[in-house]
Amino acid sequence: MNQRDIELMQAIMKEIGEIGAGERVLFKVSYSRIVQTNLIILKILLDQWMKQGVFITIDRPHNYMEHLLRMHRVKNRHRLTYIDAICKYSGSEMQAVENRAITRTPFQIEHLPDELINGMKDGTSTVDMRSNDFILIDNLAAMLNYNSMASIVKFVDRYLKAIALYDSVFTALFIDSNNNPGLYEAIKPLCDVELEITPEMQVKKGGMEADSEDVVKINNEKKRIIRSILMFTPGGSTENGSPKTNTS
Amino acid sequence: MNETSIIRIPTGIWGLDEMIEGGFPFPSVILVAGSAGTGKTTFAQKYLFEGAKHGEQGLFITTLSEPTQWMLRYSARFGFVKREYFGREIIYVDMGSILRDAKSEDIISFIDDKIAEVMPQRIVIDPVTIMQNMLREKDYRMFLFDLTNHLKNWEATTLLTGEVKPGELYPSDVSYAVDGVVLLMLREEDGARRKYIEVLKMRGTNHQTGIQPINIDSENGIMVLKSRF
Repeated sequence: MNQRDIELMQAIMKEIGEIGAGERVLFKVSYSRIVQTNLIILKILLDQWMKQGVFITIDRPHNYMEHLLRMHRVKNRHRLTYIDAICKYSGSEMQAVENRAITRTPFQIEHLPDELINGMKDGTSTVDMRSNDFILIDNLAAMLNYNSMASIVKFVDRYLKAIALYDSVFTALFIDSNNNPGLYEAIKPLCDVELEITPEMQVKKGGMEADSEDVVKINNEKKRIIRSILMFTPGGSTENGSPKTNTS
Repeated sequence: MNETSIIRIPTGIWGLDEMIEGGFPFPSVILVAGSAGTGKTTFAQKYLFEGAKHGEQGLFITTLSEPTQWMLRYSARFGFVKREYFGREIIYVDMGSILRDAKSEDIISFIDDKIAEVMPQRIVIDPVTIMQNMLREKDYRMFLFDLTNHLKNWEATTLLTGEVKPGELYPSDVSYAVDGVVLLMLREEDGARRKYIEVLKMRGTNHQTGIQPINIDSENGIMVLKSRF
């Protein structure tokens, strides 16, 4: 990790350190930074805070994150269990990762929470949520390739209710709101806290300042706190922090 | 807004984005093919510097075409090459020495490790077709399948450059495995060789067809000129 990544890691650590264990956190982050943010949060949870948890992969097979964790010297990789919803369709050669469960397909994702509640059993691994402190999904929007928007919202709703049975489990979801505004708006009310990873330029423009201290009441009277975390980009950045930018 | 629409990144090549609905799909693997002197490396460099301008991380892997220092010596003359990005936003990796004795799985493993280390949004492998000389035909096809599959699963858009042999339009083995093919070509016209570009394939994109004239200048690199066809 370079200096930028370390600064980002420290900023994220500070923010999620202030969040309660059972909170549901929505990370608003550019698509091109989702893997990096996944990695940093896993590094914090596994190595800094010695937590044990589950990582659900939909965007890419789990062995890519395992490779990243190994390359970035995350020591406590054994504390992580993968639920891989895509590897059977990925054409990838799977390296043996001990703690993994594999779903049959990425379709009908709304049934995954049932499997989670019952403990995932695929012959190689079992996920027992009682022994886990966190659960992360790599990129919610990747589900849109295989499921309808309604199915995904239903999935997240049922998934969060299922996780709520284990009230100490920290949950994190990741969405690029610029490219998936509909999904973002649908998922936002289901979460307690929203953290935005935003490029420096966007903050300089003042676009996020108004949001930086917002505390919003939502239907169930939980507070949704919007905070901005700077992602330092010395070379500049896109206007919206997304790779989707104007033509040259 | 269709939420399954493809995310695109600007190519950095003046006039090309308009031909491909705004830029290369992200993530994807794109082949930039052409014979010697058509501007493949310049294209690839401009692509990385465009990303660096937007705060994106770039990784440039050179194979056995020429050592990185010689490639940089010539490309450094372009106005778009900002040296402050070297070693930071753009990381150069010379793979030449590794390729001499490596097996295909070692090559992929090396590339995977570099990607995991650098975490780039933009990757260039220049040129990929050199591997054909080092691997048997079956191994080469398997190598291309595995390489492109790995690259697509990383969070990046990768440009593979490919040498075109005399009499060949493009390297067909590679073109099957990638998401997009951009051809750079030379044509004799009025006693002079002129440069052209053609987007042959771009998955998920309603791209412009037909060849377009290009120019390479020292400030901007490659520019697509107004069509004469």
